[in-house]
Amino acid sequence: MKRGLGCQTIDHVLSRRHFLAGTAVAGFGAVSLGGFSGPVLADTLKGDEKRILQVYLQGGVSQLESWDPKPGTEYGGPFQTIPTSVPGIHICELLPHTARHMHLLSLVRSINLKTDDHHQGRLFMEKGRRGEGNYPYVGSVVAKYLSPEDSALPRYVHISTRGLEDDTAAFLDARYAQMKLEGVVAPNNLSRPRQLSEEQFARRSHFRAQLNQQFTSDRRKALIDSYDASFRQAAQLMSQRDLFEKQSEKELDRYGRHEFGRYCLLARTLLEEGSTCVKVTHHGYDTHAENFNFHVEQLDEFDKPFATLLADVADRGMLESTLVMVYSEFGRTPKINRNYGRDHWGSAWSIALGGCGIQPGAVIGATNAKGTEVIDREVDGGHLFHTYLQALGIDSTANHDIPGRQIPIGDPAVESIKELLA
Amino acid sequence: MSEPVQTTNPPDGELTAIDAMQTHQAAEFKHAKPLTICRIDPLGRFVFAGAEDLNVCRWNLETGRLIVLAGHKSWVRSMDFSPDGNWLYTASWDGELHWWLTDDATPRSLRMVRAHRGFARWVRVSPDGALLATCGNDNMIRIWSADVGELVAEMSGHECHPYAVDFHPDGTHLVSEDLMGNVNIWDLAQIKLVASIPTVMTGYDNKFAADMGGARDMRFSPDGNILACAGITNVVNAFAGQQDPIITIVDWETQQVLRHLRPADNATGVAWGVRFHPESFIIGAISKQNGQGLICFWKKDEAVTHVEIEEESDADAKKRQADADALAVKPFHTLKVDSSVRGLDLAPDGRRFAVPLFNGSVRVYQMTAKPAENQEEAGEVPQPAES
Amino acid sequence: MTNAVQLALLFAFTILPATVAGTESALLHEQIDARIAAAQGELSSSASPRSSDTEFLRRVYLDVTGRIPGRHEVTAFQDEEAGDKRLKLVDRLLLDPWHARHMLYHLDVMLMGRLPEKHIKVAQWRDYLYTSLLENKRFNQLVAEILLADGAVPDERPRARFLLARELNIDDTTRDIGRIFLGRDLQCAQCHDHPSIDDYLQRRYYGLSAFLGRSYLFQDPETKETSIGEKAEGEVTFTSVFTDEESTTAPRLLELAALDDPPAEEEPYVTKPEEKTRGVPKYSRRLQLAPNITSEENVAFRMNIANRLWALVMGRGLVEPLDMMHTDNPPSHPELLALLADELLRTGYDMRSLMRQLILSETYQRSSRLVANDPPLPESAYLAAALKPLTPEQLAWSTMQAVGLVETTRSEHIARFKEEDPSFDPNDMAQAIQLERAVHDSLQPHVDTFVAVFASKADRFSATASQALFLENGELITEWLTPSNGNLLERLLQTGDAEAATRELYLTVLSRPPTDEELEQLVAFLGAYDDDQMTGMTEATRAILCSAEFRFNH
Repeated sequence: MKRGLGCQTIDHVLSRRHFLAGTAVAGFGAVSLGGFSGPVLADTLKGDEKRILQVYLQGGVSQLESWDPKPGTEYGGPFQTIPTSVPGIHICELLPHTARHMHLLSLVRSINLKTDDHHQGRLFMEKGRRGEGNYPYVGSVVAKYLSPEDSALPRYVHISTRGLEDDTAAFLDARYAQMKLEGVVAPNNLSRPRQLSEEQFARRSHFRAQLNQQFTSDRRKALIDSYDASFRQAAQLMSQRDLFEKQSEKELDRYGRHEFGRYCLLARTLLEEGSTCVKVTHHGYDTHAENFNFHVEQLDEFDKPFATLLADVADRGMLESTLVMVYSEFGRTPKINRNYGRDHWGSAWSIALGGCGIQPGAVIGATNAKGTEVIDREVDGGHLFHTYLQALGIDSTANHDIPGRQIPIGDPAVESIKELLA
Repeated sequence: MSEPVQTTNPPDGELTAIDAMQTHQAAEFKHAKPLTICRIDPLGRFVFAGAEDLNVCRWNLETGRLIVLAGHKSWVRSMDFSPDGNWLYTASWDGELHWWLTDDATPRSLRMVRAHRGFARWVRVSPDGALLATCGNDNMIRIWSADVGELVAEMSGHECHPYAVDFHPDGTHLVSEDLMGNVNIWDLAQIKLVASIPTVMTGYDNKFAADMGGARDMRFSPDGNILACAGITNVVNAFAGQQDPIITIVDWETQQVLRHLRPADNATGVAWGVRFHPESFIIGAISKQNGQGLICFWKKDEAVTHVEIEEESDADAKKRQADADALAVKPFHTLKVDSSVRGLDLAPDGRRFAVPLFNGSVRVYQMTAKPAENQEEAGEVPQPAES
Repeated sequence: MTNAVQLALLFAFTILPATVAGTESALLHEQIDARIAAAQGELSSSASPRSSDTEFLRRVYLDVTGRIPGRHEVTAFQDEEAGDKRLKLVDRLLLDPWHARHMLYHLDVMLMGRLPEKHIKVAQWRDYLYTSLLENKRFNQLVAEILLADGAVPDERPRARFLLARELNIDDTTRDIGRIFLGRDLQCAQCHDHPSIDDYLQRRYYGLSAFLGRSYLFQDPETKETSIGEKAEGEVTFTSVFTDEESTTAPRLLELAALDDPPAEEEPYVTKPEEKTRGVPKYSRRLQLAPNITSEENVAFRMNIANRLWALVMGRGLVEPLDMMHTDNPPSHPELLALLADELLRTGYDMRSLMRQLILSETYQRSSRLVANDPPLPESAYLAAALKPLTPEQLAWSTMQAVGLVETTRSEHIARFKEEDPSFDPNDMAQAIQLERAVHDSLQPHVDTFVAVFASKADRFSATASQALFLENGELITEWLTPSNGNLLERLLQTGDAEAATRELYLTVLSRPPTDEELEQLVAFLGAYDDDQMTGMTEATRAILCSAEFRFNH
């Protein structure tokens, strides 16, 4: 059985050449496979100040009710399409606000993950690799290679009230792991213990720093410095408490006062203030029953706040340096079941992305007339993962910057969707 | 598109007595797509059905001939007729309201009005035929003149989608019910909301952060004393379709919820249709979560019998499964159907009813003993399922 | 049987054989030091001196029992005059039930990587490990039990967590067996020979997976319990992306010979696999895994565990990363590693015995204070003791020990036991175990809290702002620092004297007396809180709990 993990990167191709030439591996001489380590990412990317905004429509938004509608066909459902700000691109009528900003986005309509499982689909979309293997999520990868050394805000924030377990950093430093906010609330433990004044807290911090200085004076510094840095960050976070809680009335009017609107507003604030990856989860889309009524409700909640967020990011001149993606773990079946529902469908569905490094207004790939299969440019989570990173200027074909290990950042078996990159 | 009719009963020569317990299938008409609604015209000539496509089917009940009404741009889940049977009105999910001649040889939409932004969920004719009432996803109720399609009035007040409307038989009031299970009563003289009755026909799924509810059908009893609303309650898992079917009976005079018509067991699903039969029983159509269907018959006098229950502090107490619901009325007869039943309409002579099924069929049932000679002639007659 | 006799017998059966059986192993720790020194060459002049008594005490407590010592143990050890007090300390702690607890945590993370609960209750699995470690079950036997478990034998179900929690997913399980028991991450070898690691051949990956390929998860229709069934046929085939050749392989371990199936029998099953019955073949490929992995022939097995035990106490492996053992990533001290592996073989994989030798070495006992740091000394030269971040469990127990919660909980349980049985004696071995279990069960929820905040899958230490906030502001620690019940804060306030409080604080939390400068420093700090002693003490304690000196094992 062929596994999709074969390696096509330059170092592997070189190795293959040597292998096929029949040269024994050990003791070959000048070119030793053992010494070949492939390019490693340096810290040179930091300082570019790029970021990523992820909007995760949890449960599997129906591509037929969003990005790839097929009105009037056998499985088309009751909705019609609307034109968008990009001539030739039509999306479902349930996304009127987003349609007006289509020129800021592109669509990939040809995703086939070969899985219909929530957990597997989600992992594949986040890690760019199939299965439970220990790989970091794209948010952690981006945080590692793009966030500034002394990040004032958490590098990777995930706003969600859904209790899904995400092990985002894997073998990367824990500082690149997501910080989860249960809605528009401050992170845990951001307030000083009761009755402790700011002055007293500062005195404690000073004392602690002194102790560390003394301890470190004749010991290896790296670990202690790292530990110290986390307290500095903590102090910074404490002083930014307001960021997580206060939302302007005027802005709430624009974004909408329901939860998702508030999340989007918080997301904008965090991106503006320096978080490298902000992920907002909107649930739920797993509409095995009453697919149409629920998509009316959920997409109505999604459409305006998302469009407002996208437009705000663009208006602030941030879109050039912000990758935006709207995604799920799979799409939904063309066939409508007996409960007016659509079931899981990982074999032919879509996502939307735009911003940094992405060619706007493009449509990549296509499904057939009924939406039952991909007929052009089939891609999976691996291709998409490469694409996100390449768009942000991260060489996804390189190995992770981890001493002692050679782990390719993206799956070497696949490549980015080059025609989507600006 | 549809297969030939299978009629097993010729019209009764000699009228056999109505006996709900003997309900049996009399005819079946097939369409290629699942059906969403069916209605029989006031003259008993045709059965119309909406489907999960852009068509409305019309079968001649006698000959079985099929004509397709084309021209909708979305699904139709509601239609009604002028009292004289000449006109058919369809409401579709693109927000449009269409006028058709019921017996048009080549049906075409003769008038279209953009009734709502988003779904036009329901259309209902006033008892005198002069007005049409619609409701839709813009949370509005609108009243139109039936003859020229002029907007006569519009009522706002629902804070979420209203699903269905009905006129009181005396024409003075309109009722509507929304996603949150609120039954609104509108005075038609003043075009004003005069009451809002909360029901348990709604639920919020915490896990998926979504509401589900609303009336899938609404009907006053012919004497106007009670209102029946078919829908759901006790939402456990909205996205899996795990909730309970319910028909809420509201007392018109007291504006109180009287009883809940429930299936015989704790079956999960949706109640899609309800009709009052002149012989004092109520018929309901239920689709079960497992894909089967039920047609239930309840005694009307049980449905109006008041039950004394204590004020429960727990607001969800009434949203219980059938066996634990103090207001529940169980049916005296149940017909099992091998496909989800998505609606119900009574024929004008009160001897038959039609149901639209997920498998694409309209089934016509007769509520009498099976005529003996037909059993011999027709050969294989589908037996009614045991109750 | 008296306590002393018990102790002597245990000593005799578990530790003495290692010291008496051969002069080589009696000098293992000396051989370790000799090889380390030899490899250091000229750098040895920059080697740090021996750790002080209090440094050693704290380090050994953490490495053997998973928590810091109590303040009385600190002063007692300092005051102890006997020349072999360090040896005696190590031997005493190795027999303490806390050692079994500490090793349980370590093994659980090594074997399960904090995978969520599935099919088998985590508490039962941990209890199985704990009981095994209390009796110093040999590592090869433990591994064999885990890999032989099918979950079908009720009493032995907990052992099956290793396989069942992974749902017998072939790729994940194969990879983990390679990593955990052979020190080899074969992940990329799945599709073809790893491009830069010569000996992770594709054949080896599939050879390992072939042991498991015929096994499947079976759910008992009545009990609903999941166990492992197996078919009598099924081959592993693979296609090299490299060469496009299709190949097949019988089960094999790394470079050892493939294990061919015995000739097929007419009836290959003991129990045929049906919908309602678990398949049991007469010849099980899966059951070959245990004896073959742990066999003497399979050198990788003992090299791996030797390396991991070395890393546990020394702070870094002789091979790093721990699961990347291959010819292109040789050990920093190859002969030393071979020596340790041989020792394990000789003692029948006695982990306690090896740990004892490692701890007794001068290499281990070195101070973490650097003699020189410019240019920085290579860590692999072991010139100074490494800083080892406390694991989440060590941090939890040490914090609870520091604030006095362990003591008060222990006292409560002793009182309770004595009520039931006035002859209860916490020094008696069996009752000590009972007491440790009780204390652990009471305080486990707090350990879970620390795990949730501090656990990470990264190879290296990383500190996050969330963790810092938990330590600085978290309510749990605030609660622990509220004076009550004879805890640390109450004792500090009762001293009534800043100097006495400072000494008490340092002894209790940092397990050493303060220097004169530190005394002055802390007294000055407390001086600013003259009118609010409690806040002063709380703040001082909290600052020290947040300090690097507390956070690390040094």
